[in-house]
Amino acid sequence: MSRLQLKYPKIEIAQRFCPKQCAVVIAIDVWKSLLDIHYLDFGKSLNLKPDVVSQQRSLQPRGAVMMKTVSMDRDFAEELINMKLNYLQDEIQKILSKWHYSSGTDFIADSKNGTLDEAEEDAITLQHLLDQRDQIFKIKNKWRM
Amino acid sequence: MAHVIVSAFIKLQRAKQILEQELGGQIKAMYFEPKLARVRAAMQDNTYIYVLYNDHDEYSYSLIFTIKNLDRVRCDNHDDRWEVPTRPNHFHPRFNKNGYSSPMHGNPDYDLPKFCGLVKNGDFWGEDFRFT
Repeated sequence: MSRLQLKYPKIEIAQRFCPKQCAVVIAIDVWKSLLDIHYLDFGKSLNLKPDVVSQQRSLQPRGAVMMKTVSMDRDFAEELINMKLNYLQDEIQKILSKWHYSSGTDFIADSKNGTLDEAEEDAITLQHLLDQRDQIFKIKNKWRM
Repeated sequence: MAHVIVSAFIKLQRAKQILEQELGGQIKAMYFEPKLARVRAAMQDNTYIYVLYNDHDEYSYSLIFTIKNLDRVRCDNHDDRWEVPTRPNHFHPRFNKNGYSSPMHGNPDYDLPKFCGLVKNGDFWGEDFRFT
C-alpha cells in the first residue's frame, strides 16, 4: 500500500493519550489542517470519546513544537485533499457565476478598479479561496515528488 | 516600528470575540466562516454585520440593513479608487456608491470597537453619516 510521510507535531501526545485510536487521531489532525474542521466536531462524527477529543484540544502545542514523521495511507490523504479542493472550486465557481465571470483574476481586477459596484465582499472572499486553492496545489505537487 | 503580519484567520477569530464582547445581546446568531474569509452576525433588529479579512491585508466591515440596493454601510480598502485622505481606506454611506474618508485600517482591535460603537448608537442608519 502506498503511504505518505507527513511531518506531524503532536503524534507523541496523541499516542500517550489514545494509543488504540492514534491512527484516527492522526487522521483527524491531518483532516483538520486540510479542512479546518475542529477536533470536537469531527471527533463526534467518528464517535471518538469526548474526553480523548477534549484532551487533544487542550494540548495544542505552545512554544516549541515536537516534529515527528508518521506515515499515512496516500489514497486517504489524497481523498481528503481532493475533497477540500472540490469545496474550494465550488465556492469559487459560485462567485464567478453570480457575477458572470469566467476568470477570478478578471473579476478581482474589475471589482478593484470600479468596473463592478458592490463586489468588494465577494472579491475579498474569492481572493482568499484562490489563495487556499494555490496552497492545496502546492501540497499536492510536493506529495508527487 | 516592525510590521507584524497577522493572518486572516487570526483576525477573524479576534473579530468574532470583539463582536461578541461589544454587541453580545444584540446578536441573534453568529457564523464563523474562515474558509470564506468572513464572520457574519445576524442581529436582533434583522440587520446583518459582515466582517471579512484575507491574507492580502484587505478587509471589509458591512452593516446590511435590508436587501434593497445600496441599503448598507461599508468600510473597506478593496476598491482602491477613491480620492480620500485615508486612501485606500474608505467608507460607503447608506444608499451611496461613493467612497468617503474612513478611520479604519484593517486591524480588528482598533477598528471593530469603533464600528460596533456606531452600530450600537444607530449612527450608521443616517444617510448623511460621515466620519469627520
